[in-house]
Amino acid sequence: MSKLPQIIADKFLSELGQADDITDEQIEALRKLLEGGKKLKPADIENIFAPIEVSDL
Amino acid sequence: VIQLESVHIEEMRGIRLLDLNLNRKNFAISGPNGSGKSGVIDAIEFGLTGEIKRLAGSGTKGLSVSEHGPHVDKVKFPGASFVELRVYLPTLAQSVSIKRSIQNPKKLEIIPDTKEIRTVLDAVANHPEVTLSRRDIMRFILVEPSKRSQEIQTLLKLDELGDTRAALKTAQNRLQQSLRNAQSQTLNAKNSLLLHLQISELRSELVLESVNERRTLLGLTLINELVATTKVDIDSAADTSASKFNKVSAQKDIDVLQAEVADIDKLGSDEIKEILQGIARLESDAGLFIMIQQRSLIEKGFELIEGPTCPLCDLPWGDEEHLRAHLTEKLEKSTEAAELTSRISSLASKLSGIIDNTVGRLNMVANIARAKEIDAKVEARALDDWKTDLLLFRKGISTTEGLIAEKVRFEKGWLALPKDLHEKVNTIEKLVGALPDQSAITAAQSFLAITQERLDDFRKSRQAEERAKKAATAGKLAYDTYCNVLESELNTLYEDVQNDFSLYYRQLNEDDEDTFNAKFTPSEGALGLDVNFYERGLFPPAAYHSEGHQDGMGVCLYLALMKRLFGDNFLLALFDDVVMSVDADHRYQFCKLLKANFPHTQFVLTTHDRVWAEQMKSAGLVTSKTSLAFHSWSVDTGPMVESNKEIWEEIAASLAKGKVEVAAASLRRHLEYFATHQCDQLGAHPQFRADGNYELGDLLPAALSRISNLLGKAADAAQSWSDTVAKDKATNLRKDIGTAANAALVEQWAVNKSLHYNEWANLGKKDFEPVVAAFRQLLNLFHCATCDSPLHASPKARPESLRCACNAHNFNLNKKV
Repeated sequence: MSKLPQIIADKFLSELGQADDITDEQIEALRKLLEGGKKLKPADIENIFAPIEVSDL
Repeated sequence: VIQLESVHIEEMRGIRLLDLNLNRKNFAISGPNGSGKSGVIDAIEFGLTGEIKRLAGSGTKGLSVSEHGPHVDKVKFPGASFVELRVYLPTLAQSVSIKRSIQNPKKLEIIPDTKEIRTVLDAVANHPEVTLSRRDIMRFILVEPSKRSQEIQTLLKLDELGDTRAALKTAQNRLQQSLRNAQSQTLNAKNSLLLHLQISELRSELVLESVNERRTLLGLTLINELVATTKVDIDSAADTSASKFNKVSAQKDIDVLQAEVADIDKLGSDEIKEILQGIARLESDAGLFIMIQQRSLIEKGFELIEGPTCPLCDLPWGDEEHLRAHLTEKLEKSTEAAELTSRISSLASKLSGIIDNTVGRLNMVANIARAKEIDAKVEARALDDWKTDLLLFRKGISTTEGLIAEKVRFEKGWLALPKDLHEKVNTIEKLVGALPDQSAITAAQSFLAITQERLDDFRKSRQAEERAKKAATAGKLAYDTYCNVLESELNTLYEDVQNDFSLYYRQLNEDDEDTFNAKFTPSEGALGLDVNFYERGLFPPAAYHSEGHQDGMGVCLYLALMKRLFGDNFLLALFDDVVMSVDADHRYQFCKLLKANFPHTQFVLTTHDRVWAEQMKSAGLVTSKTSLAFHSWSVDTGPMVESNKEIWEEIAASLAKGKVEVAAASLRRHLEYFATHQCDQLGAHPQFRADGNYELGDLLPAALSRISNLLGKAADAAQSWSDTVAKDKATNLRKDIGTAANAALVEQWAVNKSLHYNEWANLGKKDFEPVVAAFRQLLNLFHCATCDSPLHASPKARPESLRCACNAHNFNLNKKV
């Protein structure tokens, strides 16, 4: 019924995508999360910005 | 989204059996408190959503639809409790029958059942806010700004925005913490390298100077440039295990650890002091302590409310919204606990940095102890044990509960230096010191090997820090951007709501607050509300406005929010005794407000004030056909319905059974209602009673006198305007009412007690039937035959007209001047 969340999500991704420190891949991953219809989990967001690398282990 | 055509209720709440024909029109239900009105709203709400709000939310612990939804005599037979609704779906231009039973509230039987219809009805089920009760409306007005923001966002289905923002904030905080950890690691690696190289700052020329001094000694080529891939020990030795012990470097590492251990009591002393103060605060307030203990549990639980079932017992959620609201309320109560938790966590984070540093020193010396040249296994194990203890402690203080549990350790020396550590380190130092000095060649080889090892550590740490920094920057950017976008969009939304709210309130109070305006002040997670008080400035709603006005604000704000939520699809609202919130002076404007601003919305309203119900008719909000009165209720029968049309049938039925006393009671009750209402409609003046307990003998003669007087004025006014048609109409009606009143013997009540209504029960059937007929005739004359609304004076104090809702009757009372 309310379209506001979708409007906010689109604007958020659009504005964030213009930042130099954010990659296209990160934006797409965020888009998938936001469009997934599930409640966002902090760990999912962390994993987008700081993926666990094998070399770190 | 939908409108109601008819309602059939069986064995629900206080209702045994009830049918209502709404025909997609506004509908009013009146009746005294406890007569079953709210049960109708509950049943409709249940039919649409499968839920009953009155059985959920704060103050309803122990109540449930399954146990308390059925009529009290049918609790064990939930299948007997059900609601059938005939609803109209404008988007599909189709009428549909739906049935929902208490036995299976989630199951909706639909006829016809198509995917499109089910989609619409699923959307309807997701909107319990179409039902508004008196207790609901204050949720928007008399609440803390943070609560108001939450309530409004919940109503507007914007909860997920708050969830998303919270997730982004948590992710941002965690990424910042990861960055701090990475920075700490880099600093430790850097210090370790500087210590080994015996230089004060990490500049490539200083590193290369130290490295090339050894390489020269070993006859190796010099390194001119230090880049990320430079190997400083290249070509230095074949036996790498032997080359990693350097006596001089080992002695310096040991010296640093000894110096740190000597001053260990000073490490983190400021942080410890503040942490202990925080713990003391918690110990002095048991409630706060419990809240902190529960907070993390509740936060975790909140995250787990996702999907149709409980992740612990795998059973479907009983009432997901109720649980969510309950946990939200608990979390809000723990704001102070949250602030204290946040501060303590920040201090614990600093202590973790100190531990990382100490662990780094311990690692260096433990490696020395394990070197084959030293082989001090016992001492190495002692250092490892302390390191393990420190790391466990570090992990423990990462939670508030763990931190509180370590109170004694904070008081007695939080780093818990083992008693014999000095001795163990001294042993290692002696063993190192006892070794013969390494040959210059061996020392140079081991020096380069250790340099390379620590340089690698530093490079890895720095790369990890760089990644952590990028991640933290991205996390902060994401959170800030989301907050900015959210704030901007919500500000626009709030401005729209604020304007509509102000407009509706002005319309409701046009007589004395026609310049009213309101101001929303949104901030992070909160929404302040101030309202203008007679142009003296903006104040909180409860500051100067009366409770009645505050109630009016609640309704207006609700309407503004619903307009924003549904737009043109705001087609149904169920108001359970909400209209009582509107004070008597503004009820007409309230009806006008609904009609003017929401002409396509079907309002189903209940009120315990029958006069108010009649005012809704007068204002044209409802008609006699779309209103219903409950006169009483019993647990066996449910609501007893009374209506203008049915009352005569009810009386006739009683008389047919020879029950004159029942018929007499029904007639008297109806006349009381009629006379009260008619006095109000006409502005009649019964003899004043301070206690307000007017009897039928006070009211009915006053109403008759008033209408006779007004019709006389109408005839005179028509005469002055030479309007013979109007004059005749007024005169004839006045005459008819007088004749009917005489037939009903009303005027003789005062002089002949045997004819008084109090004596009706003692009359025989044949004697009472003419009385009933006379009153029926009399009462009909007070109503318009076209629209069935009662005649009313307008305005009441100094009437200028006497008319009905459709204006088929419209007597001018002003004479030509």
